[in-house]
Amino acid sequence: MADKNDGEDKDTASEKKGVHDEEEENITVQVVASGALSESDSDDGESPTHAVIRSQERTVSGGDIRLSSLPSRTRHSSRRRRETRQEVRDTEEQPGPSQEGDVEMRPITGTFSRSRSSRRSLRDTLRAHSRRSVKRGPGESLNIMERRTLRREELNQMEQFEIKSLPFCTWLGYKISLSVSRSWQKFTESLKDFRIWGGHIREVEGNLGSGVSTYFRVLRWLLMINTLNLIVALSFITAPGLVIYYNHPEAQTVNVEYNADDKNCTNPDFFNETDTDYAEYGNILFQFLTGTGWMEKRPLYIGWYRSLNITSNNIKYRDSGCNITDDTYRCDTFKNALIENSDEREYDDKRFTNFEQLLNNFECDIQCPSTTQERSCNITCYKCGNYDCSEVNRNTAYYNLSGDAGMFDCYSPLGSEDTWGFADCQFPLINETNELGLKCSGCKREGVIYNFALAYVLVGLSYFVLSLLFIIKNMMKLFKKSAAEIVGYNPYSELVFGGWDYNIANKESAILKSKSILKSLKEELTCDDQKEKFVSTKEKVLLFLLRVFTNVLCIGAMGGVFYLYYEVYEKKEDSNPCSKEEESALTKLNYNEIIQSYGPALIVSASNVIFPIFFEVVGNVEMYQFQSTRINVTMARSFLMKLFSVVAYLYILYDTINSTQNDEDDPGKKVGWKYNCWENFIGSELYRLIIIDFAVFVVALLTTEWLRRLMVDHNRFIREKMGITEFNITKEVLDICYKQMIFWAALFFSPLVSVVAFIEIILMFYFKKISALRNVRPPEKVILNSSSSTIINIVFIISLLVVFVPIGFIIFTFKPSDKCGPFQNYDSFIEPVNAIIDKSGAFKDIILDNLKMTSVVVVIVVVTIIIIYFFYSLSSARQLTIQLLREQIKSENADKKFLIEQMKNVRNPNSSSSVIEDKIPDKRKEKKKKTSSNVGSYANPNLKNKI
Amino acid sequence: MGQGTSAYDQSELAEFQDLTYFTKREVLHVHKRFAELAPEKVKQHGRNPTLTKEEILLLPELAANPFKERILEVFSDAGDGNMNFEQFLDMMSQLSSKAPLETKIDFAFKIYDFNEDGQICENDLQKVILFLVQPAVTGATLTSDERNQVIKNSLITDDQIKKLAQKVINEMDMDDDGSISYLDFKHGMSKLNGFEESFKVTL
Repeated sequence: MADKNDGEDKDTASEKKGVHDEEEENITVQVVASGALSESDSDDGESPTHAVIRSQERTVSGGDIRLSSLPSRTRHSSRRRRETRQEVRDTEEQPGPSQEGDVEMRPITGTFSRSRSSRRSLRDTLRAHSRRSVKRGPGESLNIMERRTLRREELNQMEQFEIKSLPFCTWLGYKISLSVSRSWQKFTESLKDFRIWGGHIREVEGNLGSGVSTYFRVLRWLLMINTLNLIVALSFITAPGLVIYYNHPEAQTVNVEYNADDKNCTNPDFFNETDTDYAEYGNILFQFLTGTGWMEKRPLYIGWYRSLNITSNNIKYRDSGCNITDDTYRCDTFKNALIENSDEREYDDKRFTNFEQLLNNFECDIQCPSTTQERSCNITCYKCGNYDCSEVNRNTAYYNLSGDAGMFDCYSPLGSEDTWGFADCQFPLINETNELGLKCSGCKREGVIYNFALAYVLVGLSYFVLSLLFIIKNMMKLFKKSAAEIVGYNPYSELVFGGWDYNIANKESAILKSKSILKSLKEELTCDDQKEKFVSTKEKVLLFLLRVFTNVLCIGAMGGVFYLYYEVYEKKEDSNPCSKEEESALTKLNYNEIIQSYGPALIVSASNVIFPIFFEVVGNVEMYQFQSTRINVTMARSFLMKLFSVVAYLYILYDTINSTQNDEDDPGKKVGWKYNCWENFIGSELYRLIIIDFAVFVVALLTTEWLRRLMVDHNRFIREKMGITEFNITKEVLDICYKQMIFWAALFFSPLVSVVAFIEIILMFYFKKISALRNVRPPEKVILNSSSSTIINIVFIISLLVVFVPIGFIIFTFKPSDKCGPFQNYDSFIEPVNAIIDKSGAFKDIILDNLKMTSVVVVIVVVTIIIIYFFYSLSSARQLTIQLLREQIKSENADKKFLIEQMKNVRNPNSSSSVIEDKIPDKRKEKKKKTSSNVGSYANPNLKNKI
Repeated sequence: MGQGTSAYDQSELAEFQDLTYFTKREVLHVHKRFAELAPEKVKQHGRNPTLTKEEILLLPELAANPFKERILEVFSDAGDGNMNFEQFLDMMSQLSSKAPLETKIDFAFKIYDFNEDGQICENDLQKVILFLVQPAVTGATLTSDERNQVIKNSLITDDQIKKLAQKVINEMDMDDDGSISYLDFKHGMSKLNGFEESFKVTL
């Protein structure tokens, strides 16, 4: 573009502008007049309409006539100055330069308008700066000196006209709104500045473009989700769990003892291994990595947690005679549990059956030494409350009676509503008829402050709900944004005018930033360059067949992998009977064992690395017209694959734990599981998957990125043939999505996976970042840039729901294992919630049984989907509106052009067409209307926002 | 003359507060930063000396900006980039995070309107793009040599720059006159989501 051309352009532009100006001038004047400002700004004084208005306004404009002799460009700038002045009015009328004062301060304007003489001097001052105005662009505000002059003027006038008599309330309201808006702005600003990893992401952005930084943004975003989960898990599960653990060490003995007694086929790693085993064989690391052994005796898994509650210290219990109906105490009493043959004073092996009042039937064995002097007895209860201990929980309560009276604790939940009761016992008790008895008065504890099982299941559900809300919130933000940018998302102007970050204060990041802008600009250009090619019918048919074939191939491959999972699991299952030999084999850290325990996880992880590559190859074969289609198809396939593999893995786990025996009475109901603590089993399998997945991630990073880089550096052939790895954003994002799916799946069974997830994401971020800056080149084509993160959100929502279905199914329908975990006394995980609902009574009638919860969840999901859909349709509706508005603006501009042409004809003395002249007034009116609506649209903030 | 906090008295500060988007404290802070740029001059000429363009560009917040010279030109009284404290304050105020979007848009328009004809034409845009992709180049006017140098360094072709400029005009030119008028610009900028956050300098 030569300068000459440019100059010409400029001239024509300014000429046009000049005409424009006059057109707009009328409007300016009108607006000003309507604003009760008598100061007229029609300086040019050429057109008759101006003159009319000026005479109406009777303003002093002599000083400005000078301008009419200037070339059009100057005139144009005088208009600018006028606009400016209007702004200045706004500024000067209010103490601060903030905009919102404009409307409120209108009354003053009316008062000011009387002071024309001071206006004139003001204008004189401004004229001194006309030189600047020529130089300056339109819409320019005055410089600081000008504003100061204006301010002083206005202050004088204020005094003169006693402006301070403004109603105090108005003034106060204005002041308050101003300060509130200012501090709010300050607050939001400071919030915006607080973003972790901002510098790292900018560095990546600068080096590899905005696309790659999306990956890291997603990681940061996931870190936030997982931090949320971490906080919830630690504060509501692990911390209370530890409190219970240390407050009630005896409870643990009970549990372990009973579990140890049970020699059913348990998960051998869990119960049968004593602490010395791993210490002896140096197995700690192995067990850490497989999540077995000592790990299972740690709060990592659900099985470690007790079925106890935290109770407040001021537990009240009373002697016999507590009133059952007493709401405050909810006491039950059992009294005079008599030992038969008491007069013989033989205390051994007596069975009590008549602990009537307390908890319906409390069946206990009492073993006492034959001598009464020792007075110590063991009481073992078989029945606690409504629960048959022999079925559900055989609960021991030890009590050494060393005195006349003592306390007897029943640790296990005495029913679904509460945890444990206290019983005050006096022993022996000899009543009037000389019977020896045990007199106990028991109270269910009162004032539970923490219902652990309830908390656990609620937290288990809240992982999903919180994550879902988090994603939805993010999506809404995006929808809002997309409603604003809409069709008119202008990538180029966004980059050119909005791309530079003026905050950048060091050379290095400036260079990075401009690199990133350049990269993005090029990305956009290449994106635009892809043009459609013509395809014949024959080719179409061939392509169709080819794609059918490739799709079948993909499905087949997935099926094959599923079969492989299954096989490996069967093998693992077979080699894992509860025999002593196997246990010792495990503790010897033999490599077979390692491979066996890692086998399935390894296959899942490896297939998740290999399959995307396979799909990419398939995608290349399929000959898509657009690269973007190919990438999208590959992405969809990989995504399906990830969903599938997670679900398949969960299914196989289910299949493994599932007992083959059904209940004899009800064939549909499962009476038990193969594993005594199947929750732990699932937890450890998923933990193992997480660990192995991370290992695979590290290995893949080292080989595909570092090793390749090294090879490229040292081998020219490879350098020329392959180059360094291209950062495949879609693949990487899907990969972390898959990882997040496993986290979500594992969280219910092992709360501390949130910690693992937290650490893993941080590690991944740094590993990836370091590697990305050294070993990776940015992708040539970016599909997922920051603007398309809606897709990412949708991907995450789908994964979340897909994970939630099986986990929710487990929570709502499975029977918890009765040997471990906080749910050992419940029929399902959701039962504590149901118990609360039943207790509260209000919902009891509305919601009848367990199904109710399922339906509630379904309702929640449906409502969520509706909300998303609502926002989506809202945004698309807005898009439509905006498109229409754009059309309107375009057509109005065309009108304007036509009118300008007409105006030229009118001005031109040669064209003496009176017909045109006749038309002018109408046209002008029209014009005025239009332009005023345009001007109005800028003046009216609401309308502007709509645009 | 006055140094530090005593450079301006309360009424003057109140005046500045009214005239800019700064609070009194911020005015003083800006003055401190300003005085640090050329302590000698401040000693000689008092609190409101005129600093040269080069002296002001010592400010790291501006030094990294590819449009630094334009910014100074637009804001200096004489258009040469030299400014005294009041002009400097005015500039920083309009670049501050508190300045309203419209002010920023005005400012940005002036910066990008290199030939100052009230329109951002294709030539202006090409310059903008060149500055963007090569922040190391200084000078508000880009000679053809410099231009070639930029093209060479930044791996962007002349053709691409022209294309990009055309694309931007296509996107923003609502009245279809081949260049971006102020109204076009204002309209376009109010839609860009990153602009308001990115167009600010905090001292």
